[in-house]
Amino acid sequence: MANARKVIMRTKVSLLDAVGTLEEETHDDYITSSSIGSTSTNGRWGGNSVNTDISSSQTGNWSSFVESENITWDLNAQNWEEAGAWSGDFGLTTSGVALSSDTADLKFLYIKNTGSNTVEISLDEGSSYPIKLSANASTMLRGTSDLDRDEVYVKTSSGTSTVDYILAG
Amino acid sequence: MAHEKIRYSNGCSPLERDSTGNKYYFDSDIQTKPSGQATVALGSTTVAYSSSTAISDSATQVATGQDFVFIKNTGATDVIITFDNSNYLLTLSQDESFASEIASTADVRVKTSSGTSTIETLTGT
Repeated sequence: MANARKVIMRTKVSLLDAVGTLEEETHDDYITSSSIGSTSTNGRWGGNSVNTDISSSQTGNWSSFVESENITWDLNAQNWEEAGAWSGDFGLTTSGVALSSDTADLKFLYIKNTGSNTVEISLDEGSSYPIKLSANASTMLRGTSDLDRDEVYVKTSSGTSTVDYILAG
Repeated sequence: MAHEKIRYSNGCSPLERDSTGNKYYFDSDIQTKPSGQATVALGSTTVAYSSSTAISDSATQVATGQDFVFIKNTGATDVIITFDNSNYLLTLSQDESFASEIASTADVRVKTSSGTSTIETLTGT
């Protein structure tokens, strides 16, 4: 168990404008737009914050970055060299799946879509999927006391995909 | 505002304090600073921005029928967020942000548990 844990959270948002057509070329580049927002934001928003709510002790499969016990090489029935390297990614299909069976309050969630198909996230055990992640996108959030770790479900819109995640109580 | 896109990124640094002092190091379980970035191509290119929206303990609708939402708590009181106009499942403390693509069916509303706060928002579809 760690002595203490915290997470620094960073979010950046930019509004982009298409670059206009030049005499001899057509660009498909985008530059930061200043069409909305104040001069100080200049088409960019976001910031940093620190989440100190998460517990020093985490249980279950709290992150895809942590190799779970059932694929630890010396606990696996397979020979480790035959089982394949642990990738750190969690595979998804169009069927919703819980990321954790722990019923503790969700204090921090980070998910990144590391595949190519859109990933959908549910916060009510799969009843609705209001959050979406396109390829390479990530999101993060801090739950209220009404959101438990086992209520987070993920699935794809179509086909298969993979995610990285941190799901801390 | 034709041909606009929204690019967003979320990243975090999970930290762990050592057993003998007050210094924080990268979490020994995670061992990395994960982040992701994507660009949302807006269909009808409708972008709405509010630099400061007053929030109370009564719900304020931020987005419905949108493809993207960014919310930052610019006040001192925590705000809570619902995606279905019923269950408030997310919390934003002062200076904390939430940015993500969302389903067009999401009905995003914000309020405080008590007291008042302010938020900055950007939505797009």
